[in-house]
Amino acid sequence: MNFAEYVISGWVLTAVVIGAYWLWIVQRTKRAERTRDLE
Amino acid sequence: MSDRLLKPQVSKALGWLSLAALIVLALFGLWGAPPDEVQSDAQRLMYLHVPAAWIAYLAFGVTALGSALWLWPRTRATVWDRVAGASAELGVIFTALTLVLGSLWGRPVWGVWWAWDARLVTTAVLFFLYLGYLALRRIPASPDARAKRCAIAALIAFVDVPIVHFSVNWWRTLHQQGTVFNERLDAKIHGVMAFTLWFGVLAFTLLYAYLLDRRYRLLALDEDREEREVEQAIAERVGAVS
Amino acid sequence: MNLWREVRLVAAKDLRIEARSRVTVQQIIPFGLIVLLLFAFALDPDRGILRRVAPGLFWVTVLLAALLAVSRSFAIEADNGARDGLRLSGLDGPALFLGKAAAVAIELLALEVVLAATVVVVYGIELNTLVPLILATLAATVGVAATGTLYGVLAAGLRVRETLVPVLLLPVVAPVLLGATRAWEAAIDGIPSDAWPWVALLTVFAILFTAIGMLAFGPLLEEA
Repeated sequence: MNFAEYVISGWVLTAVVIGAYWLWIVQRTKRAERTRDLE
Repeated sequence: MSDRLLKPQVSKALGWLSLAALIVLALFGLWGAPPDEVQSDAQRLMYLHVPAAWIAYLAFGVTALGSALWLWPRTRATVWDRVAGASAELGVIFTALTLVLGSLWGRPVWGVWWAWDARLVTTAVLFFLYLGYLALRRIPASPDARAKRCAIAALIAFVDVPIVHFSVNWWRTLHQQGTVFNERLDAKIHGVMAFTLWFGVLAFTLLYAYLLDRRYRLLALDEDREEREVEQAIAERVGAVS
Repeated sequence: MNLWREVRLVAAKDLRIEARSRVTVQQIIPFGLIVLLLFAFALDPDRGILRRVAPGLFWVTVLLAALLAVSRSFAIEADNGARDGLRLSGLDGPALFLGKAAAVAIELLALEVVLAATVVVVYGIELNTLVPLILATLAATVGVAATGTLYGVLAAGLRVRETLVPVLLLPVVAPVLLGATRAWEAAIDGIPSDAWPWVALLTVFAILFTAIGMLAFGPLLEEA
């Protein structure tokens, strides 16, 4: 792997981790709000 | 109100602002800033690694602060326990990211995936301290009991981190290794590179604040629902008996 | 009753239970010896590695055994409402903490004597310059016992106590492992005066976590 590949991997990984975490929070929040509103 | 930290409009605005800042960071980090003389393009990982490390420790401080505020009787409030919990989860993610990015940076530049340097080792220990704290947060106990145990654990960890850093630093300097390593890490950078780095710190801080509020909201929803379920279960028992 | 009498009372209780059940002598010390043996299987003795890493292996073994000792210290309070008994005894937090931690420390010291003798005989090292060695060992043991007792009460009453305490305790006592190993290496194989800074670090750690334990034990016991 040359330098560029390490760099791209790092940036992509960061974007994926943050994006996935954010998505997880958003989806779980929507589900929790729905459950709460149904009661 | 202990169900959110920021007003809805503020939270949304912060979210968009963070995204914009991260995009700008990417533009500078991957293209705008010049390659380093020695490390060439591998330097570009520093623009993520350093901000991530900053957030890892910031989140840790916030967890400790929240824990302290909850433990102190005069400031005890559910919000602080929840802040501590939400921040810890963010912290563990950014700590893991810091370690992985550090490896990806170190490998092309120094040829090693890992080095026994004080900062890296302390960050690794921080990662495990976080994991322990998060394990403690999942114990089945009343919110207050759990909060007390978590708060004390967080403060113990907070006290321990400087000791770990100091002792590892001492150990490594006595062995006279890692000097070159540190030189590279502390290498003075100027101009666009310095700007990009500081901008990265800013962008990540905005992201942290936004994610903290969102994670807090989710935590509040989950804990409120748990409490309702417990009350419901108790009411059913009482109803069944009488 | 003054603090020291209360501490002696609590420590004596735990040690009396140990004397009757002999868990440390019959289970924890053998565990330590087995771990030392396993290290010898893992690190070919003929290649001289064992001699060089003996201090590190010794202290890792002590830490692992400490997990058992701490677990045991709180297991004896789990039955028959013993924890309630502690709470109602009128003894206050600091005394309870110091008493239990002292008992654990004494058990660990007994373990260390046995393990040290074994390491000398089996790994082939010599225990030169005893003074820094002993002081380092005392400080490290107090530090581990104090921190272990602190996490022991923090996790007391939880079903996941036995898997939780190791994950909480070991990262925190990493500096003790570091300091104790370096102190031993300096005393045995290196320049003995190099051990003193590490002894200082271990002492600071011991004092700090003893203080934290004294403060936190009472409040944590109430929740357990």
